[in-house]
Amino acid sequence: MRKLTFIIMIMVMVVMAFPAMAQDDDLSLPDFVDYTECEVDLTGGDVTIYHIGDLSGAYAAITLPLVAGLNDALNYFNARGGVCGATLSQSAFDTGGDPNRTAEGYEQVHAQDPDVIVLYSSADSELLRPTVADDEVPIIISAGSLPGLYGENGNEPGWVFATNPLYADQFATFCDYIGANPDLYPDPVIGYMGWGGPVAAFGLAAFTPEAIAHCEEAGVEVLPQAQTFLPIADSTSVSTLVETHINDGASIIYVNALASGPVRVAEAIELIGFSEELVLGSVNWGLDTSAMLLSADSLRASDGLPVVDGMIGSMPFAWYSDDLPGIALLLEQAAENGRGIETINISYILGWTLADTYLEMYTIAANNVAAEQGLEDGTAILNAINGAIIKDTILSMDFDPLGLYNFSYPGGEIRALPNNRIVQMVFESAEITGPPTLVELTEFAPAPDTRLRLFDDE
Amino acid sequence: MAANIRPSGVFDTNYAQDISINRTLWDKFSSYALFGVLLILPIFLPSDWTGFIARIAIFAIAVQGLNILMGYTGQISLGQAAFMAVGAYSGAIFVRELGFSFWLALPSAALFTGFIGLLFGLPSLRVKGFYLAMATLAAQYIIIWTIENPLESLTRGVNPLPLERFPPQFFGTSLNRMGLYYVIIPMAVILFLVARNLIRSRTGRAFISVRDNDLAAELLGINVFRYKLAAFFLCSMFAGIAGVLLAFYERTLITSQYPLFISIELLAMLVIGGAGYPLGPLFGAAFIFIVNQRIVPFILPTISEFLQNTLTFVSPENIQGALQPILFGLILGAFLILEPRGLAYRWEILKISWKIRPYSY
Repeated sequence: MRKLTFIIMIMVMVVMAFPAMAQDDDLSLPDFVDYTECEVDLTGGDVTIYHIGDLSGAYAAITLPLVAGLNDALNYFNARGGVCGATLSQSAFDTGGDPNRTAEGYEQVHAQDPDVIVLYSSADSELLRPTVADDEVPIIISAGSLPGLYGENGNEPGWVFATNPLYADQFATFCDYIGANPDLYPDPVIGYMGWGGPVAAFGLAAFTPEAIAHCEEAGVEVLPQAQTFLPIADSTSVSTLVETHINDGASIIYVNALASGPVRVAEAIELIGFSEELVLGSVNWGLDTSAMLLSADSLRASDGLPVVDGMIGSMPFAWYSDDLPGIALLLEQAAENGRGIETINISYILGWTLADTYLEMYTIAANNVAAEQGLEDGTAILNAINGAIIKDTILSMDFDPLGLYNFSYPGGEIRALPNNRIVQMVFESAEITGPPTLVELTEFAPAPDTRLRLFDDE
Repeated sequence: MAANIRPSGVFDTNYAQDISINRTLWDKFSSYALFGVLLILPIFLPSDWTGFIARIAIFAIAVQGLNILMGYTGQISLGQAAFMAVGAYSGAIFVRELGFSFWLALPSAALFTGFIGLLFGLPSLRVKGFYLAMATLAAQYIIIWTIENPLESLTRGVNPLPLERFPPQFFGTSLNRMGLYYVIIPMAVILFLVARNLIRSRTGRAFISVRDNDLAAELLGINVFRYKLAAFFLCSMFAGIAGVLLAFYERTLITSQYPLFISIELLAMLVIGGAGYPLGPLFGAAFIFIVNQRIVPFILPTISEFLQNTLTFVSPENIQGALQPILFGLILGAFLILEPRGLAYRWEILKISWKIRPYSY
């Protein structure tokens, strides 16, 4: 009996030991990212990524993958020691897309004394801009708007930091590319389209007088009237708007919307038989993998390819067509976590890069606080970090999260990361087996700062 | 009205006693105590609760306007959020463009909104019920479209209109959010008293007669059209005041704060709180806010975790995203089944039971 018990105990121990033995031995941070070395021990502490935004409304298609990306990234980084031993976690407040809930969400989150908050919507950042400045809480947002980042007059950089160029500057980059290639796009006339209704602030964010003036200087005419459509609009209703632009002389349609926007417009162009004559352009969200998914089961072009094949637009960070270790890492992790192609989109990588940015940001802040205030205890260091310190840290950083873009605000006066490039979405064949290729048409370079035109007269 | 029930042993000996709002010393004390508690609450509560209470008060003002129109006069409006937008934007424009002080902009915007409400109340002469609802639905769209398009140069169209440079001044001091809390709460109390006194006036009795039977009211010599328009005017004025307060409290305003959904939510607040009861709007606004912003987020993680473990085939993030509206809808549905006459009705029952104790039969 004793023998049997002993054998069973040994077997149990072996079974328990197997998973541990099977675990990945390499629990170090990615070697292709240049991290700041920890000079403090924050073990036992907690660094929370607070985010406020629409998880159940019109933006859910891109915000839920962001949460998924954050989840996967936090598990990954925590398994590798977190922030100098402190655990990274996330706390979300769902506004459902209702701006009335944004301030309420902020107040609830602010009561937990956050050092920094993540927002999804540029309109939310505009709503909270004065409050976060009063409370000295920096905001990190993916793509901000001019009033949100620089105030009503465009010359007051505040506490909101965007990780993409302004939509107006992305549009200006697009115009620069079109204007620089007259052989491909002779006599270019752009008809601007964007989401309207409750999300019109985003849809029309790039349609600013400054961006339009920049386009005109680049030799690209922009039709004076923008056309807007609801996120739920079908291609038939959108086709009327496209026809209006065609009648006004448009040769290019630029769509400022999430991926379903350019897909609906591309379908509309196909429906009215203008796919040969019109060029389709879009903003970074428009060139996401979701564009491929949305168009996979819908209308096809005459050559059998998805209607968004050939779409061009701005893409301010590396994405799925790039053979980069950062992309390889997150694709590998996505597969390990059972993420489907509908989740692995732009927001998913932004979730990862956000977590990576937090890791670096808090490491620098903790090192600085410990050195300046002579603190050694991890809890005391984390308690000493506040919004003002995080803001200073953000302004001092020069970091490439997962090697996918450069997180740096040179000069301290800009609030949107400037680097941008133009890419083209290309499908290899009619049968969709994976993401399309994003062919790089221009290299990364600072986007035009159209905001400066506001001060031309001064 | 149920509120006229006197506690056992208390008898009215004159008309003043009969119409008094606070009939007994205890009533008076509890009313003042409640007001006092509201004023000192910010000292003890975390900052997010101050904002929470301020928003309940602002929305309760807008619902009180709706109560005058629907609860007392029997009309309907699906455009209350748009009227809030009129108040918010006109108040902001008065301050930004015309240099008005907040204290002048507030009544000016309220009056302006009242007149806009009159315009959209005109169809009430000819139509009622669903048809009137459709006419006011038009207001919701026309007003927001007008703010976003023809008035774009003043309103910044679909983009937020910041007010951070124009904080309300009080004897040379800029009022921050805490300062505005002490404007919003007294304003809400005053407007509640206005609404409560209104129904005890000649106008209020005319409103009620129009609600109960407009033909009979007309035969009694009541100018039905005039009183319907008056109700629309007051309803819009209340919405306008709520809009101005919200705009200056948030320091930014945007048209997407006032969609049709908010008009319907205001309607839901009235139904849940109890239409036709002065306290109904307060109960309704508080109930919706508490459920939506405190109870649901509190129970969400537990249910989310349970569902994630049970429905392993659904993405956890999708569960998280979908749960909030589902839970809110379920609680709302359950409430309407269990207490269709509103919280204020339940409150009256409780009050009467207390007052006539020990002879509750």
